[in-house]
Amino acid sequence: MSGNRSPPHWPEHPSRRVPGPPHGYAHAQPPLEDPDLEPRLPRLQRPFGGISERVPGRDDIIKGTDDDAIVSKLSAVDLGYLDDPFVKYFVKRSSRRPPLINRGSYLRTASLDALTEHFIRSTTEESSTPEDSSTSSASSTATSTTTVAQPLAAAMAGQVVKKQIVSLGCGSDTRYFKFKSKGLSVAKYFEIDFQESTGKKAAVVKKNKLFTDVIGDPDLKLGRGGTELYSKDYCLLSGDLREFTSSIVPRLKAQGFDTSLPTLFLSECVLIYIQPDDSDAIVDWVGKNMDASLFVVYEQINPTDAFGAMMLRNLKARQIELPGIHEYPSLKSQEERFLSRGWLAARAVSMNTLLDTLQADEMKRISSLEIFDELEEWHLLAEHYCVAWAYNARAQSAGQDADDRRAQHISLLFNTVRFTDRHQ
Amino acid sequence: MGSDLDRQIQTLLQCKIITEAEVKELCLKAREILVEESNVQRVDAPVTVCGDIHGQFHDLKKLFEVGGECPKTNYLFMGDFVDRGHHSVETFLLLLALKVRYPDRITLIRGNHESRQITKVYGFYDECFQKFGSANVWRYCCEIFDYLSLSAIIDDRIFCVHGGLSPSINTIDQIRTIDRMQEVPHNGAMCDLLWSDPDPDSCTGWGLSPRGAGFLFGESVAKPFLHNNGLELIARAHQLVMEGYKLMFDDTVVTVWSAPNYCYRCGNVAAILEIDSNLNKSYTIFKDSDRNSMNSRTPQREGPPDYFL
Repeated sequence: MSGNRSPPHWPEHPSRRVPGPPHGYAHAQPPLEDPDLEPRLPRLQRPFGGISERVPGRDDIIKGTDDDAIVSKLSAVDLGYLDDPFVKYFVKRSSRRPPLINRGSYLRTASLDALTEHFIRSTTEESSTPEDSSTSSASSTATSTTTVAQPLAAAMAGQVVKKQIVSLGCGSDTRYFKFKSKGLSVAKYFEIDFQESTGKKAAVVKKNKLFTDVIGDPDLKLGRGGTELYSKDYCLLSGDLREFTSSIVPRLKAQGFDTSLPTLFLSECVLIYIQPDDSDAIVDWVGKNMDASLFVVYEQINPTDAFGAMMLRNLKARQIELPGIHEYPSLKSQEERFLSRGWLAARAVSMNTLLDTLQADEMKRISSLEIFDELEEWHLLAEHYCVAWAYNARAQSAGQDADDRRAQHISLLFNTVRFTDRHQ
Repeated sequence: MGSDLDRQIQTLLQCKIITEAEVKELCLKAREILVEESNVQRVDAPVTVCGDIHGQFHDLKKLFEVGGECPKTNYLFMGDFVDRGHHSVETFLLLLALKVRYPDRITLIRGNHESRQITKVYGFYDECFQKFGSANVWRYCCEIFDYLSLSAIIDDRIFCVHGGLSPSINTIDQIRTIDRMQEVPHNGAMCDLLWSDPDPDSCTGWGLSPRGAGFLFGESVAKPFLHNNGLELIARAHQLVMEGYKLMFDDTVVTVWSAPNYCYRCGNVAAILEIDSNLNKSYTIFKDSDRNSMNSRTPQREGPPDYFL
């Protein structure tokens, strides 16, 4: 993320505070054991039933949505909304998208970039995100109330912690390259998608020096018939997210995936395309098996109002179904997806909120890029997309050390997301 | 020629294009008519007032089904004929052909999309190029845009304009003095008439528009304007209204929106405002045409509506 860009800030919505003690610090005093791992709420009804659909044609359609997204992203790059020299390598035929689509593509990418950047930069020390000086007093309260053994705290505080990122259904996403080329990287960045997608991506990456220079590993290898890439800090895996626990997890682990490291899971219009039972299985597994995880979701909501119903009809005409949208149709249910599974904190905001909270100079900058005469339509469209985040941390074993470690993880995760809440 | 024009209208009514030469000739004839019109064109009731159409040709035909055929029904269209929809060319040329054929039974005033700059971003330019293989038709149409009137006044009581009011304008006579034969400027009275929006939350009169052109005007501006000019209502378009129309400021300002399921995406209904000879007003709501559905023979190149996928 370039230095002169300001990430969007998310104001506290009175009805959407993260649950927990005063000031919304759900984790201010982490419990020694983790009763939260039991779901708090009954499972919601599943209109689509629990059986995974395996219609080959449907998968192809979903894979095609990435082409659409990357053309839109390039349109936003070409017009100056986004700065990303990598996107154009994934687009065969560029096309200029309407201003409203450019604005949405920008906001989606900038919002997830902001969360990713904060995750990469975050430490266990509260002053690690300099622009949030207003929150430092509240944050120090949070840290001081945790019972951290002094030597361990001293060892971990302020240090850049080893972390991982897992991009689910990555498609042609360029975030790894964009961040690393600006000096922001994690111990290992995993990307997963269908093998048709990863095969195309692996080919683009392998044959362009711009990409291989960023990876910077002479041992960069292709695998699985050219559908996978392995390097020191970047790993592209092919697979079906509907088989996450049975197939993806073992292969992640074979590539050095470490459940003890704080890990960011990104899902940009991905979970919504698979049956809720399958997406829930991913959320469940992450929440229960990772020592520390931040899950970030970007997807459609509000399927039942006039615009939402038309959205589903239009997508259906393109043979695109959103099996997840009825399970998680609102900001509240997006949060409950995580909270009901014992995650410590969750928050979902619409794209309208994200735009409203864009910093004034950045708003001015993007407003100057194109004529924008789609205000009413923008508000409608933006009300049907949300960004949600949730985090969880668990103690791997009984005992003070494990608890201390968990407290440190919570502090790190909290430091990552607190920028989304300026009014704390 | 009359029969030529009738034949062209029949062609356009089938959502088929006429030749470039025919467009050129049609535009020349339209220019002769439009140049005689005032910036505040006088219209007699009864009249049916319509808002944005935006190239939604099949919905325009639905509008004529609902409101009656032209010339049987007297129509006033408040601009934004082009852009966004798939058939800006057929939509605008049909309306223009009707204008030439029945000049006293249809009034067309300019919207902010009847502009070279906007049509290059929002689709009309591309559509002309696609359908005629050159930008000539776009150029002919843009010349006509410059001749379109800026507003209309029905029986001296109802002021019709695409966007709204301007801080540079206090009286209807001031509008009459604008030199309108030009591309829509980025500011000033002419720009404001085409770009401004009423602001239901404003108590202070004028506000900055989030559109970057025109102004927001509040009740405290609208009511004195009506009073000073002996008017009872401002009818305008410009803003999508999910319910088709929206009355504001104690029924002194109304937004009329005539593009149902705007952009084939918004799920809204549309409205027309029928004003009888006693200036009684009634609104008729209509839904989008079935022909817009993806099952129809809509050519694939027109593409489905955009979403973030």
